[in-house]
Amino acid sequence: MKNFAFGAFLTTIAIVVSCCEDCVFSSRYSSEPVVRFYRKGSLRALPPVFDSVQTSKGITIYRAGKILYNSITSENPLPNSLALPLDPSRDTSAFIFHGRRPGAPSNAPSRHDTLVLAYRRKINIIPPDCGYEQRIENLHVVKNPYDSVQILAKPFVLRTDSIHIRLFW
Amino acid sequence: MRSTSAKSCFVFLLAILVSWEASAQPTTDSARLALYQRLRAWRKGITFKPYAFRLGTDLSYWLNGVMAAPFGKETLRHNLQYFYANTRRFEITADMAFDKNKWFIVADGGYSSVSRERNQADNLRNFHYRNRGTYWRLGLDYNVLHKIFTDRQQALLIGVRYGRASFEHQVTYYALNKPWGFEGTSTAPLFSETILNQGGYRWLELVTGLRVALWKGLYLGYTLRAKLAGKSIHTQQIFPNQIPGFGTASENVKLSFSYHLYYRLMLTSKR
Repeated sequence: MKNFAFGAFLTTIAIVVSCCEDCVFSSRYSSEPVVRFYRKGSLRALPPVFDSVQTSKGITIYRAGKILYNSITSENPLPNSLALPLDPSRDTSAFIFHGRRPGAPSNAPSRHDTLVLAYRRKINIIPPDCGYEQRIENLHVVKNPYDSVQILAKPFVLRTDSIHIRLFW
Repeated sequence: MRSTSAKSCFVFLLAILVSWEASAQPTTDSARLALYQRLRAWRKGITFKPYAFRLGTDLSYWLNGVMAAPFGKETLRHNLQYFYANTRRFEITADMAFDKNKWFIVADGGYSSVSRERNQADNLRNFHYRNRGTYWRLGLDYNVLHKIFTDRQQALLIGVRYGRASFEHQVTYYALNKPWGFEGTSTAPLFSETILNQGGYRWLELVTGLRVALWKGLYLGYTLRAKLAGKSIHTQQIFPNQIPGFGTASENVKLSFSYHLYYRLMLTSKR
């Protein structure tokens, strides 16, 4: 019986083979909430025809409807929406929209609307050594130049969700 | 003296059995009565007398490095050096057999220090992560072949464990983010941040394993663990990645192997 037990022990050890973990990784989390603009009482998304959109660091990310930075979100744009890349160094990000508001008449005056988003950044390391993903939690608007806002990204901003913020005016 | 202290360890188990018995008594249902009688007979059959004490260490840290090395990305030597330079683990395990070689109370305790990093030229998602901490597990094993292993030395075990870890983990990460001026150039370097958090984790394990006598009091053993993902305690800005005693926290059920070397001390002269 002792020999049987010892044989079973060695056999089990022998069949246990370490597995290699591959670095195939695609995060379902996004740090670029997607915004759509609406007139009050309507759910028809309006084309964001701003002259330009800047971060509070003065870097232009959109000009005349053209995206000026590269990311997974910006390379796969949703129609009638803007992806807003959040500041990785702090828990608030401000964006300045220059030009006419979406859906405004062509003779409407040009504006400089500042939208300030607040959130919590969380870091998740992807095993084994694939990198990390940043999860944006509890996204909310702390300064809204528009009339009302609807946050759809709860509790995290997910890449799989199409729209994260709706702005109404 | 040994017997007295060991008996006090089983008060907890007795309390569970007594409360089970109490809940079964009021019913007149025949099925419940039959179950109660079987339970009572089973309880009477158990001898809560310590039989042997076993103290050992987990060898899987040493074996895993060797077994994983041929599958790594670099040379065998480099893989071995990388594993042992970035991973340090030590575990002491003890069990006490009672009711001859049938039941075991098991306690494990250990230390773990793991470093991980990604440092690629693409500058995407590079990081350095370190986790240091301690853990313990407490549980019960049952020797399913106690009638076959009549020498009362070997054991084929099934059991459960409750585990708990407390650790400190730190991450330094780098981000390329042009809209905010982090371009990875000398004038606009990558964004970098270091976060240090304390954390804790608790989990459950379903285990099975084999213990075989090697020579005199020396024993070898392995334990196959199905670790059921538990709950993080005090998670702040970093999600726990390498949890002491649990491993990588990325799956709901994680399987792992431990290999043990033990020394057994008999607590009774009777075999």
